[in-house]
Amino acid sequence: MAKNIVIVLAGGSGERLLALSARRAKPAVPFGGHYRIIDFTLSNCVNSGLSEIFVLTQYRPGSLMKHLEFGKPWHLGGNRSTLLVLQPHGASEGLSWYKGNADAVWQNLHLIQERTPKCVLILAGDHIYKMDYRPLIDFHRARGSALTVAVKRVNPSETPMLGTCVVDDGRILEFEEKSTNPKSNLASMGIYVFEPEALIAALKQDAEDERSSHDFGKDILPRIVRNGEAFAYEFAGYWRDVGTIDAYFEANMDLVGIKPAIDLDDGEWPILSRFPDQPAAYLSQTSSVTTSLVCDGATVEGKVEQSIISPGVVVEPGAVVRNSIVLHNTRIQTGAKVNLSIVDKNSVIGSDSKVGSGIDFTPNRRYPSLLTSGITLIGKGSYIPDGSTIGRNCVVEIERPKPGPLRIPSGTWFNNSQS
Amino acid sequence: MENVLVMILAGGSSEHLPVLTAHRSKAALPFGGRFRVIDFCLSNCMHSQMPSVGILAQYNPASLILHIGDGSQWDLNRHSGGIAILQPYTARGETNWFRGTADSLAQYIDFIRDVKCEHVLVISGDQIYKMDYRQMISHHTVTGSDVTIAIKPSEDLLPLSVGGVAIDGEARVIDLKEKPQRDNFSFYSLGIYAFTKKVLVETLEGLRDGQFDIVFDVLIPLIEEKRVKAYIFDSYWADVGAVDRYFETSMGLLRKPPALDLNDDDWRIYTKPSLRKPAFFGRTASVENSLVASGCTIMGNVRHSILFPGVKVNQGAVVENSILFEDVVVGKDCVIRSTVVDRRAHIGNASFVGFGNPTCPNSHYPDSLSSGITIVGSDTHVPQEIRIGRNCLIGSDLSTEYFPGRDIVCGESLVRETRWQKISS
Repeated sequence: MAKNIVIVLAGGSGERLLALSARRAKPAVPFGGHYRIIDFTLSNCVNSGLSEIFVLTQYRPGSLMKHLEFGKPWHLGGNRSTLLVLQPHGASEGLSWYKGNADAVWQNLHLIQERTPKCVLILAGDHIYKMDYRPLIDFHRARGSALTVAVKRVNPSETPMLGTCVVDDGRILEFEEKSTNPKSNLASMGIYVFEPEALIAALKQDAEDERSSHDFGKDILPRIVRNGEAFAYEFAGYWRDVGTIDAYFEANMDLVGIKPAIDLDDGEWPILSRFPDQPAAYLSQTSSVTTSLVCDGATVEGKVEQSIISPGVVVEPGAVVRNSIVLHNTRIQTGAKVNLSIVDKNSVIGSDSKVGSGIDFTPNRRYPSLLTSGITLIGKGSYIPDGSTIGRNCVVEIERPKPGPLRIPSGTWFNNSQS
Repeated sequence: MENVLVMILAGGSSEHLPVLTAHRSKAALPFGGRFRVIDFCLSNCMHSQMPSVGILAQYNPASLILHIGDGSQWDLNRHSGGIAILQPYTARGETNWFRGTADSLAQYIDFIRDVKCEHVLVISGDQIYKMDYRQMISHHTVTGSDVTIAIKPSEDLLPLSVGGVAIDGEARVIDLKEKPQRDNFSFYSLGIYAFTKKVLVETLEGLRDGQFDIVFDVLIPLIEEKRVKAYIFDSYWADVGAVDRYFETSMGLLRKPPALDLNDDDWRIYTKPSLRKPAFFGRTASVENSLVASGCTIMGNVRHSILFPGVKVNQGAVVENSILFEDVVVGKDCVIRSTVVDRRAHIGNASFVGFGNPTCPNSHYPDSLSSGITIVGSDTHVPQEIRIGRNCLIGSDLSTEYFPGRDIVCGESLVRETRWQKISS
């Protein structure tokens, strides 16, 4: 029997994640200490018994390829299952860089044609949730649907970021993409189950349409909805789109607690990843760690509160990390204070520096709609000199600083890594 | 180093590690929060680019086999060479268990013959050290030795389990004795031997009935007949074959600086990854000078301790100077001191473990359990609100009903005797 196949859309640059996705694809952005965003989707696939998985990439796939290891962490690969990462290849006439996520699938149509699957699942690679896709597939087949979209009821405040569906008895009557005043609060989760023929037909029409943006949400869905062949499957569990810095930060913090939003060690539904093979975390005599996650390979000699400490991070004596996410191998030096910040990998916060400091919450001047809640972002491999002060809503990427402390006021976008 | 075969002696249990080696071999003993003891020599093999490794395993090997898998953690999943776990087997003719270290090698003499190599490095799977075996093999080759024995100056207390070595001015080994009086020898043997393959094979072939031991029956006779040289290794090395040494070596990791650096980027120690979430520290957590592995949930107080993956310390509990293996649960308001708690054991709420007078040695194991350390076996459920003294031995798989309904006094043992697990008093 032909297996259902899964296509994970992992090509996006995730521009709204700013410096976090500057050098890696959005699904490869580290999450929850030692995971990456795509781990949730892939774990859902294998836990649902799906074992033919193709990950379509385009934007900076290096981190993602290294992470996926041809599927080994998810027990994929070998003779009976597949995990392939596919870059655009332009091998034959008419192939090019992907013009949109629908075009990405169109250019890889042979994956479906060669296999004659009963269903094709198209999944976003950048959402945080646990979901058994089997009841969704059963629903899809029971309704004889051409396309089934998984939907979730969301707060009205979230709908402008999402596509919403007007649904009657399971059938989608209308689909609105990122509307400010939508008719429904049932949001599309970016999870689609297609009949292969319907998918191929829709992609073909889309490819021939020169005005199309070749996007599943904007172009493919509305087309099938107009034909009255799309159904909605309502999902009630935890689900987060982590497309913005605020959403990314909140979803991370949802994991910190005695009853986290997602149980990562659930024996029934494990979230698998390329786990660190480092020694246990060391907490010294002078350490204090409360309401936080700490990964293997970390060394904590300072104070950590309400934070996530990734593998290999060092928090030196007298340093304080509060309400922050510190990614792999970053060093917070003696006396430094990090507050409401995300510090990317391999960075150094110099002694007695303050990151996320002050009461000035001026939104970021370059990204006024994206950085307003006070979160400061330090880019990968940055070096913040001793005694610096960095305000709130900042994005700072400095690889080779000039000597002497920096004064970076709230709302600043600062980048000298290209210099 | 394509011309070396490494044979790891990982066969043994240990009467000096009661309960902890009831269900696993010494080499599979958890160490340092994330590792097994054998990870150290396997990581040494990896960094030293040893292409072929044979592991001689006999005693309860399941835990070891599961841990090693295909050897990929140590880059030993190779098309040629790689890792092989070698166990006793039946055959036409005479069939025996491994009757000793030399016997285990002799039973796999065909394996040794078949691997294309010039030298065979025979090491123990139960020691903690970082060594570049290539340097020792070079030394062995350059000096034109038939056998090279790694030795260490015995300024420190000579560990009881190892052999004393005497050398002459040219570093030739002139005497080797097992378990000697410490004053008589200025070096001790690390149990790391490089053999020229031809010499090893000939010696194993020549073993007579009753000759099973690598020191008595292979090395000591060779000192007379062949060129046996010493290789002085003066870095950190520890044998963890007894409770005291295991405990002290573990706690050495918490010293500042640690006795052995586990975060050494030039010589990482590799192990099977732990498929766990990050450790969670609750609002009431307080942790000092401790190693805490992934998957732990800490709500209580932890001081000078080593916690393996998945340990849960509930609110109000105090864990001090202790080693807790995977998935141990410490109930609310417990106090645990100077105790090794094996996997999945539960300590009931408000119980005290490791209290009282440390000068009263264990009744069953007075030699191994006399310095005050208490051991709780795997999957045992200690009831609520009891006291367990020091130098106590609490066996594996005991339900709360098995406990006598009173305190367990210092030096007492509580062990279920089974067909597989006999306690020799």
